[in-house]
Amino acid sequence: MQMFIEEVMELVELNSLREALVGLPGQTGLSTEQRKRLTIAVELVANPSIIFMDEPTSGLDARAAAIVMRTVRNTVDTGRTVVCTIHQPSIDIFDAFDEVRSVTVMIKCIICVEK
Amino acid sequence: MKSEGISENRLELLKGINGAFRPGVLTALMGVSGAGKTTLLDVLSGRKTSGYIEGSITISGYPKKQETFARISGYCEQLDIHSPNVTVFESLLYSAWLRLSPEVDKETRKVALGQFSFQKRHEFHDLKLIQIS
Repeated sequence: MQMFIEEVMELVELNSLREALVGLPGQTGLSTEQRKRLTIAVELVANPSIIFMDEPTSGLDARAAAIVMRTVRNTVDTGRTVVCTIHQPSIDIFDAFDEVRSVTVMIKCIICVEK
Repeated sequence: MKSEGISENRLELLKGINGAFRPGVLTALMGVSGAGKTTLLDVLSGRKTSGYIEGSITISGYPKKQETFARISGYCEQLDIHSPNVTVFESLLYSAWLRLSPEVDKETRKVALGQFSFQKRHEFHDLKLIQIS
């Protein structure tokens, strides 16, 4: 299990923060972006086939969002199915996605756009 | 809302949704504020505790079984909730202890290590179509 965790930490680039205290949001410990990556890692150690992420880049600046998206990309490249909701994405974040589905109010269907 | 002319007690938020999410493909779910993106994820992952969920949810044509689905899915909610007084490593260790099944013995773990990313994936490669009706 230990090795398994090491693998996940490498995937989300948390190796250097291994012994760092989580701390309180906005006060001590991990930054918002590092916290987000910890959330992803906590889900990954359960070895899921499909992962849902609710707005992983919201509230992050461009650089932090890029780091989070890189780890999301790493996760996808392990062959998992990843579904993220996004809201007003920057072009860089939008470009990181392979597929986009759009939800309209009172949806009848999900409109699928193959990029 | 009643004063604005809406007479129903319940509002229908999501209905008749079909979608295919493929392994190894990063899919974005986009929509305006209030479109129901979070609601959809909450319902699919089984985290919705309020409101009414009716009808059926099928995955690749089979009805979704929450106990099974919880084992093979992960959900990163918007709010990152973590224990402040543990380290990053401990956070992961506790999650692994609590969520990996007890049958995951040393040998399996070794195998999983080498093929961590692909071994189990293949079993679920047909996990594609999610439908709510």
